[in-house]
Amino acid sequence: MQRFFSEKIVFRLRWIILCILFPAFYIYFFSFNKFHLFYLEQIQLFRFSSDYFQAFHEKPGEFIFYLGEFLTQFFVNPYLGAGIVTLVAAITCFLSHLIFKKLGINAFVLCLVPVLIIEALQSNHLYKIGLTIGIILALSFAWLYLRLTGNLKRYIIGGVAWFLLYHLSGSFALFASLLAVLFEMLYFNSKTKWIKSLAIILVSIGFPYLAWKFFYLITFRDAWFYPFPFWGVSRMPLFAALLVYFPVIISILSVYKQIRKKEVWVVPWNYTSILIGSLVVIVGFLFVKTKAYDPKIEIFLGMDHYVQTEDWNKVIGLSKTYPGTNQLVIYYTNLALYKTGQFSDRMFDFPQNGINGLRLKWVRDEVTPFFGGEIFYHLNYINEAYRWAFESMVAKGLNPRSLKRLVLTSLINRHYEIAARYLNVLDETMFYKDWATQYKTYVSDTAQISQNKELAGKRHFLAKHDFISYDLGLNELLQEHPDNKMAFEYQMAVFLLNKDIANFAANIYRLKELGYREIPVNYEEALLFCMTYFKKDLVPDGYSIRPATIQRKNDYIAQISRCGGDRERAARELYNQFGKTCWYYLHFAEQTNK
Amino acid sequence: MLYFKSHKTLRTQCLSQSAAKLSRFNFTVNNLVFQGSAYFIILIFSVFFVSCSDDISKSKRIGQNAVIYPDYAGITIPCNIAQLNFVVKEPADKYIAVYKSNGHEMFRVSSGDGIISVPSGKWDDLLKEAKGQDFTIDICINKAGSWFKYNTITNEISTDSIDNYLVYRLIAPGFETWNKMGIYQRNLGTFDETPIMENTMSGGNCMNCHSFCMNNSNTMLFHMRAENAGTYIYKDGVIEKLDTKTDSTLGPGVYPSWHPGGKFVAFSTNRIVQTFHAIPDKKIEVLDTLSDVIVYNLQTHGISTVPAIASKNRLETFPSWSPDGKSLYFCSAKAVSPKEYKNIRYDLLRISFDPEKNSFGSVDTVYKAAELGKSISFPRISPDGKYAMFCLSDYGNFSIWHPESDLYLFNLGTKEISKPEINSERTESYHTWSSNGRWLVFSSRRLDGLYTRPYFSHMDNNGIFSKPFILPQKDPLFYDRFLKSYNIPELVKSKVNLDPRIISRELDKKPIKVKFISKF
Repeated sequence: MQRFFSEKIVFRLRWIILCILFPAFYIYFFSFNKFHLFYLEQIQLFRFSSDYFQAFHEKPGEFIFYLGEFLTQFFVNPYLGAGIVTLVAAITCFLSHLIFKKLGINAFVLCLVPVLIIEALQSNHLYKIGLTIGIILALSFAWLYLRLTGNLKRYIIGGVAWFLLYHLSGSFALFASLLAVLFEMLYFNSKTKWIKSLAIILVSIGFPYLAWKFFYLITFRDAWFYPFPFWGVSRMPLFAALLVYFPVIISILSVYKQIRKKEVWVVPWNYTSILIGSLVVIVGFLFVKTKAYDPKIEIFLGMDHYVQTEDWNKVIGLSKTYPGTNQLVIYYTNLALYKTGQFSDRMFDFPQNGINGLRLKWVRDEVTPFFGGEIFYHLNYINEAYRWAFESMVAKGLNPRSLKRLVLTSLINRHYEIAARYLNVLDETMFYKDWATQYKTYVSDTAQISQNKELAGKRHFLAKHDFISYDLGLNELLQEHPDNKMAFEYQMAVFLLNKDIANFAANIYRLKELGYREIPVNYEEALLFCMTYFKKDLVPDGYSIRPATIQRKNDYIAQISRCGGDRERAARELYNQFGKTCWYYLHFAEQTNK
Repeated sequence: MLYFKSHKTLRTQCLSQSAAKLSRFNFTVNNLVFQGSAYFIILIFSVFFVSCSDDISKSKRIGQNAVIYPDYAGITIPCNIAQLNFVVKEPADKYIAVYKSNGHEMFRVSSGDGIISVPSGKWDDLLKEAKGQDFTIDICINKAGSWFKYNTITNEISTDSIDNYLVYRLIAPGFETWNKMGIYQRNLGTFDETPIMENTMSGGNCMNCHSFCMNNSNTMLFHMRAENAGTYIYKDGVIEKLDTKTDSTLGPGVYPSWHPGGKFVAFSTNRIVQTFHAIPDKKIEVLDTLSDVIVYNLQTHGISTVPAIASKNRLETFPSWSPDGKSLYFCSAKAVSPKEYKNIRYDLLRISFDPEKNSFGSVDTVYKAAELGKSISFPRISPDGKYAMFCLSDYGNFSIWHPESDLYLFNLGTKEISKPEINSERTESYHTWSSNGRWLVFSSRRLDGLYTRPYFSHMDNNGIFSKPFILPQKDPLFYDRFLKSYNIPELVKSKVNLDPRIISRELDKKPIKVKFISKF
């Protein structure tokens, strides 16, 4: 015989569970998804302007993204970001509870399942919180519909609310219609339920047709299915689970309730139900953590965040935690190594992928220009930095990162009117208004730019003689400005990664004019390799190779000699001791894309 | 003649009427109380009125021109244009713009933030009243309780109307990517803008090269790319989808020009290379490595060309028919290696055409720009056939990315070339004549050097152009925040009876494969 808890204990238990679950939910997003929430903030630009607001009324279902972007702008703060995601999930839970309760289904755990699905969905960095708002609006409609017991009232208010819901949330209105049909059939259960249900179905299917035909400029499919995320880049089949969950549970339990001829269907609070409920929640959490959550993406997005904040040591720190190799990770790691003055000493301490690890090859998509433009700005290749930022702004839509970069590059290029255009847009935001105000002073008083270290410094490197851009344009950048140290180190890196030791040796003389006090370790190793290969002294005047490097080279040669001509064995045996040397890369790394 | 009373006169009248009404309201029980209240209210209103009155008659003359944005001062406007709202860019507490015609005040617009938004009704009255004459705008500003008056702005309302609609593509002036884009039509008499086609209805593809036959909205074509690729020809209510790419041509037809008879369309067909510059004032270089002119026959669905317009050692592009249909103008340059792109310079050539026999004749060079170190693009012949308007830049043909590109007027009779006073220090590019030949719309990047905006200018009988003005918007600050370019502005006489719903029905249709016929 199962022991049932008293109402008082059940009430307390419910609150205890909620007080554990939602803080856990918050901690999960704050700790494990912090950077992807940052990323979501970086790919939207909520503006307080009528033009921006109006754009979200051109298509049914767009308005939920207006609300979504309003919330997403707060993700700039990790505490607020996790809090908003948690709040939205809690509202969904609460609405589910209200609907289930109204239907006479008293099963606490059933309200928690949508929270777990939302948690899984929101763990995807492509998921937009606006979709959860769509669910919330649809559930709010469903709850309102249930509360309107009077037929006339229900159809008048419900009808008006549905049309509004369709405008605001698009296809979520059809989801709400499905719930309304179930309520008519299983809850209100009147004699005319079939006619009423049929009427709801006809309106729900027919109105989008009329909307497509007369009211909105939308495609035929979008009239019924926008903005469900089942097509395009951000396909999310899991979202279907959230949509299906409600009608399935309501149908099963309402039918069950009717068969049992009970007014209320209650899952009793006892040890067994608590155990099963806990298992559901724990399994759900485990599913989210292992299947929906991608720690690799979180690491990369963390690196991306720290690149934006120029916290270069944290970029390197995160890079070390990344399992395996990834082109974007290598690209950011190399950049961070340069910015911390370690690139030419420690480049081979980290995985390399030929020159693909130095830059992202141009691809016309949303992702490449967004991340790939960073290198050009730091290389002082301002026209390319502008171009990639512009492409990113066009491909991804207005976003603070691209706009800020466009402002900076326009100011550096002395294109003040263009900078003003972008500043006007940033001025309409909550979190970038101050930044815009600060940089507007450079537009109104251009002489002040000389006092800005970053802008003035980059102006020094502006190209004076035109050249056509190919790849990173390192050779041309160095021709224009031989003092462009980053261009030099990246060019030397290109030579080493391409195993082009002749060009490496031909350019080592630049160390002196760039003011290097000593030869960077990777260059020492490469020089020793070159000197052996070309059989001549290539060390620039005034420099010497550290004895430790020479000793290491001797050890390397001794070990490689012991392996005879067995290349695979040598690669295996030398890896632990010499895997992070230039020699190892030159000998054993597969030559990648030149 | 309509005459609008000043605010002061109107207010005085209204207040006395109100007072009279209130005074007559003396049949209530509390007669005395009510009368007293009425007089009290009048007193309060009077005090308020006196303190806030806009008495600009004693304004102190500043002797300067007010800085207004957009610059709508000293311009000639068509008699059917929407109101020219502007903002006074001078710091002040209050602003008043007084519109006068024939020395009489037509109306005044007051503003607290400098934005002068003219009510449409009053504007229409002004256009009617001052048609063919000048009208003036007196701008007064209030600073610390004192009124100051700037120099009077004098504008002219031409008797020449402009075509009712402007069709353009709105697109981010990007390098390779695009997102949302569309072809839109704007009623020039109002601020109404409606889409003809948007790529949100066609899978986000690119669309371009909208073109009309003699400013006729019933004869249009445009291209769609990617999934719905094809040339869409709309004529007399019917849409045809074409695949203009053949094995014998370089690619699909671009840069279309309708023959005035509506039976032919001349295209350019090209192999294009795009590269990017490194210096601040240059961004993109788009050049043709191969380029020919071809002519499509709408009746036979055939494409033809002749060696004179499709030679191997020359690049031919930008075809443009003369209004009588007897000549095809085009640009032609010696083909050189893409590395020598700065030496690619186009001349203006013309080939005779017999529309009845469908045959081309001889070629003559109209203007040798290359000899002068310049390059021609986008030649457009005026409707009377007297002038050719084209862009001149230092080299190449993609003038929109050439800041030095300016518009030039070439008199086809006297062979004289002139540079109208409509150019700026920044790019001027694509242009269209109005159907009456009195108005020119052209693309200019003069506002910021990047975003292309449409400007209008009036040409008088002597070929002199008036100061250009930008397409008016309801919000005069619109262009400050609008991050899209107005691409290929084309004037059309009436509304194009197409919308994205109609066009999207044609998307899935299989295109008609055009045939290549080597000779006419």
